[in-house]
Amino acid sequence: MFDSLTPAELVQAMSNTLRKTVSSTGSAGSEFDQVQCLSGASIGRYLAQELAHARELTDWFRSRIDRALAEAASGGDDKDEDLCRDLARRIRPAVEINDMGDAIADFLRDLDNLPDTGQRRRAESLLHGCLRDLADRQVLMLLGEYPPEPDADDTDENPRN
Amino acid sequence: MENSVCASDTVKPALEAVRPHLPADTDLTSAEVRQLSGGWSRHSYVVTTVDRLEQKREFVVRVRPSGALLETDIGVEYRTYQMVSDEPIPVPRVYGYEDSADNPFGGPFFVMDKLDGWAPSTWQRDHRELLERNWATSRSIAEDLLDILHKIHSVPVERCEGVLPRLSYVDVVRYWLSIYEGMRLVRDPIVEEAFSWLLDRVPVDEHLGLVHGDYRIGNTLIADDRIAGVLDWELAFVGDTRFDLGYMSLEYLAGKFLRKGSRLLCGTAAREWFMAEYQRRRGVSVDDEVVRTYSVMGALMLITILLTGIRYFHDGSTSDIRMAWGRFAIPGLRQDLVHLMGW
Repeated sequence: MFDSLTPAELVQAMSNTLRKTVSSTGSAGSEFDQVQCLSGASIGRYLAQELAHARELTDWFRSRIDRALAEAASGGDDKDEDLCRDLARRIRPAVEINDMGDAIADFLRDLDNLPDTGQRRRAESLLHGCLRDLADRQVLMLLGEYPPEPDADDTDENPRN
Repeated sequence: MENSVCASDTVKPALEAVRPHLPADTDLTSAEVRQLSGGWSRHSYVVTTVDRLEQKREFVVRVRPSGALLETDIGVEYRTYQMVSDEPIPVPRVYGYEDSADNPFGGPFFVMDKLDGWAPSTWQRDHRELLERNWATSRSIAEDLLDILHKIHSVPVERCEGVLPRLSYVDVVRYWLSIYEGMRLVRDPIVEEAFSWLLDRVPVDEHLGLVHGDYRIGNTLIADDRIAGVLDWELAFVGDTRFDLGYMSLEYLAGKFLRKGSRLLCGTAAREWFMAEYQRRRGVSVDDEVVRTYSVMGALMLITILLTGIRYFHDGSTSDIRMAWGRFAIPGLRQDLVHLMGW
């Protein structure tokens, strides 16, 4: 509710405590236990970034796909439009990123079974571009560098290049 | 589960289990056992013995624990070490093999010499700096990495018969795809597209030979700026040797976790130098496109192994939190995949 400290901040604090504990106890614990604590600390650091930005990233991905579909539908022929409509219909009900992943994986698998046409290649390329940008942005998010520079939103360029 | 044989009341039974598999003259009167921290699909213990003349000797007990990350056969790994030790390839000498899981180590194991040296971790900045300094000066580690790979790939295929499986390109892709299908908790459209991409890119030829399967600087031991041993042969097979080249080329193995690591291949040698020298010594031409294909295969193999660990953690087969941590190693590899495929 009206709580101070976000879940991300709390997870980060737990992570810091684990890391400090390993540093201060030194060789008191076994090597194995130390590695376990450091792994826990590392999970906390990345999880804090996810808690802070994952929703934002999912929303960005959805709008990235919507924009790409709109462009593809307006620039292609009727068959392009049909494919775009089919993809949009499948993705729309998905709320979480994993549900979107399911829908996209199914769609790409179905595309694989279609004849190798220009429409099919354009649809694949469209989705590959969206997935590439998502992969790049997830890395930036985990690095604590999210959101990237504003102009990266408006281009297909890899923001890490 | 972890460390159980190192507790004071269990050391003795552990040593008794190892005794028949050590050289006959080994004196275990004042032996000690400690677990090494590394090892995801194998657990490793060091047995230190001291004889009457105060001479120390160390052995490694390599165990395949229940719930190991990979369903690889430790008996095959043992026989691979035996086979390779007859070649001019530096590996620790192996002794006995115990195929029963009913022992204090909790799984089948074999015993080998503990070699001197340190295993570089390209994800650690100080290790990367040491390797880069070596490349900038004597290049001795890079030369060894190349020379040993050449020797591995030169092992006559007939020598591997009855020891290692013969796997075609498609066999390897289908193997990792089946593991992915069985282990994934959610679907990953990038990973699935990458498997499909691989099946569309079957190389037209095959450079048949012994493939290490996990050849990287982190699976070697360095002593006095030379490679003293090559370890971790559990993924070895007979197939296209260019797999090792593609795998070594991964940014991940140069120290990239999320941020780029070393500019050097495996953090050790300039890629152009390594590939050119490899081709010169082997007398073959290696197509960069095929290497790129095998890089994708290598990244998928790593992702699939990480997903297996995540699955085991999720199902409660292991409480090792490194398996859950593997979830954060996947995004960097996934990023490599999309760029390797030219998306």
